[in-house]
Amino acid sequence: MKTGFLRTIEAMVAVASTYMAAVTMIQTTLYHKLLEKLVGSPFGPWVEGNLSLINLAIILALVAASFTFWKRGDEAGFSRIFNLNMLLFFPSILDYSTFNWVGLIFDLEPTPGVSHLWVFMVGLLLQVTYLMLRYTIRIRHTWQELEARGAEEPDLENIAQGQLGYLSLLTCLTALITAGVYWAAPIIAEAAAKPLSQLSTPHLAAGIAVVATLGASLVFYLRGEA
Amino acid sequence: MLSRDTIELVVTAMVYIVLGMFLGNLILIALGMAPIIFLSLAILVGQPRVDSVVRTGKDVKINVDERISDSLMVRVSGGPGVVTVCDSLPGSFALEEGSNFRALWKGLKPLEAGFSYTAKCAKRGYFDIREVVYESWHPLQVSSNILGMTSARRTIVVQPQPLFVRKIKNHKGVSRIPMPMDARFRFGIPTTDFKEIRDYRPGDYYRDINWKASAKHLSLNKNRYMVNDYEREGRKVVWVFLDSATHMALGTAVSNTLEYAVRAALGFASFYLERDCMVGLCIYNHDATQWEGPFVSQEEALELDLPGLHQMEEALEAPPAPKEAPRQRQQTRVLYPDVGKRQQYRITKELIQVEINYSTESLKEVVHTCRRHILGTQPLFVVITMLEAANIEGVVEGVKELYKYTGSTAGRPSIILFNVQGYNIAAQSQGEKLAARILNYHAQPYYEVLRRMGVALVNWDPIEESFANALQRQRGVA
Repeated sequence: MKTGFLRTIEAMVAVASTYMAAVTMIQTTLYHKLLEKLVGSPFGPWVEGNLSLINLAIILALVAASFTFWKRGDEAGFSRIFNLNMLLFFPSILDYSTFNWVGLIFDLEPTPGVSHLWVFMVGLLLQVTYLMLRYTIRIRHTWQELEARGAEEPDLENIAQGQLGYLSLLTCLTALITAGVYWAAPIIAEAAAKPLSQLSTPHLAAGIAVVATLGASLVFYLRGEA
Repeated sequence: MLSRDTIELVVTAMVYIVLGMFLGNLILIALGMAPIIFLSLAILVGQPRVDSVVRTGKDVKINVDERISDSLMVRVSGGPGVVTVCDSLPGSFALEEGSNFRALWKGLKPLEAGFSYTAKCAKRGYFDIREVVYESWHPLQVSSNILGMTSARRTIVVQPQPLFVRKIKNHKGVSRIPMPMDARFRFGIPTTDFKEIRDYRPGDYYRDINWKASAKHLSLNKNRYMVNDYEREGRKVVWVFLDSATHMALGTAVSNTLEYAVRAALGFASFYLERDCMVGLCIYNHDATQWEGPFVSQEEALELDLPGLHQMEEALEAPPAPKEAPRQRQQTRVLYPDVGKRQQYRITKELIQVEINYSTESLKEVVHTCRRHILGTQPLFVVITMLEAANIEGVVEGVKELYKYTGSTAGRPSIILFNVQGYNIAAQSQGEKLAARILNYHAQPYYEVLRRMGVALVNWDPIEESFANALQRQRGVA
């Protein structure tokens, strides 16, 4: 396995995440509002007639931009992919926010074209992309450093394979646990609502519990380091 | 300890969570948990730990340019990750096969892996190889690398190869090089070994008069008897003086003037020890000529009674000059003359350790240090150095010092000045070789100065000719 294999994985992940973020974006309220404004303009009839074509062109342009950033292959390029994805993803987040500040300013009634589960899964894909791209660069750097230090080619391949396997396993576990947290959050909230409502100051009790947990984590971490 | 870029992950997570709280969005808050979960898992799984490194190679004694082989076995436990192991070799060891560095992937199971290599030992010395350096990397470098060192000791003694001069042994020609037959004790009981016929001197036994030779001699109107002279009991003495000054470093780290000089010194020592001579070794430093002289009496300043001196203005008091640190003279590197294999071993051991500035005494000082062992003998002196036009004075002073202790009664001492032509060693290209020749030519007048002092000067270009050839070249008319 050469580093070319790593680059291929990077390309696939980057393009897939940008594509999904773009597809999600064109189904958001904010995007529809923008299209409505465009339809009201002198280009309106043309836009209305070629709407699906425009959507496809936007998606392809965004994917092409993502591909261009991937081609650079450095951290700055990957950072741009992440920023682009987040920009595309943000309108769909607004559709499912309790305090939709943008909606309040522009007087928007959220009418998302995708479900909250879809938005969460796309968000999770973006996070996985972020982690994968971040650490495939590390794998490539490790390869280069060890090669410069005189490591043998079979050893380098073995190490890269191991690192990639470890990264895949860790991101999969992370995605599963995060999905579990998202699924369990409403259930926990519902279960905790009853006992907390009996307290005179429920938010204060919850705050103390969180601070105590954070403090304990810090102590355990520092002890572990020592 | 966490590496710096993991902080970025934490910051990303915090941005997600804070933004999620600001917008009241559970999706963002849940997504913000992802980097923290990722980091927590990575830290919990941990990174590899090197348990032991075992070396199979044993202590060994070899000659320069020979090869050593070694193999190491590494045991790794702990979490998955990358482990690098490096057996630190001295700079003069050149890898020929395999590698002394290995990078390993440690999976979930404990790992046991080995590596081996063959290295060429290009320089003499006493090498204590013990440090095996390892590095444990987290697979994704979430936490800092753990650097460690373990001891797997092995001693390698790399001996210089003596330059044998057996060809000189059976040579029938007459040589200008004084061989130890000229270096003898003046005291001691005469043996039955005939040495020469010489003029009668008061105190000689009558029984030693060679009547036949005396009759022949007297018939030529030379009014002297001739006596048979016999070798005195005692070994012939050879002193080898080796220069360790900075200019001897000319060349590469492995092949430099000092290396060739050491081999020549060992060659001379072996040659004379094999012939039952007493051989002594002195390491000196030509650079010390600049600051030599602690044994020379300090002349006191003149105190003159000058009239009118009191009328002169008082001199301004100059700030006290910083006191010069007393010179360290502990590094006297002398092996006094002795015979046999034990002396050969001592000399080899000493020569293994010789490096640039090994001694802090000049030639003159080192001769002064050995003077009590030189007096009463008429030894052969072999001075091995690199003659340079700018540094000739130190050599001349040293030779004068040798004359001081040996030359007064028994005639001129036998001195071989073995000049290792370092410029030729350092020269790589044709232009450099030409420059080396010019520099050597520039020193020619100084060679003549030394020759006029009675020194047998032997120039040796180690690149062009062998040690034996350089000595044989000195054949001539006695």
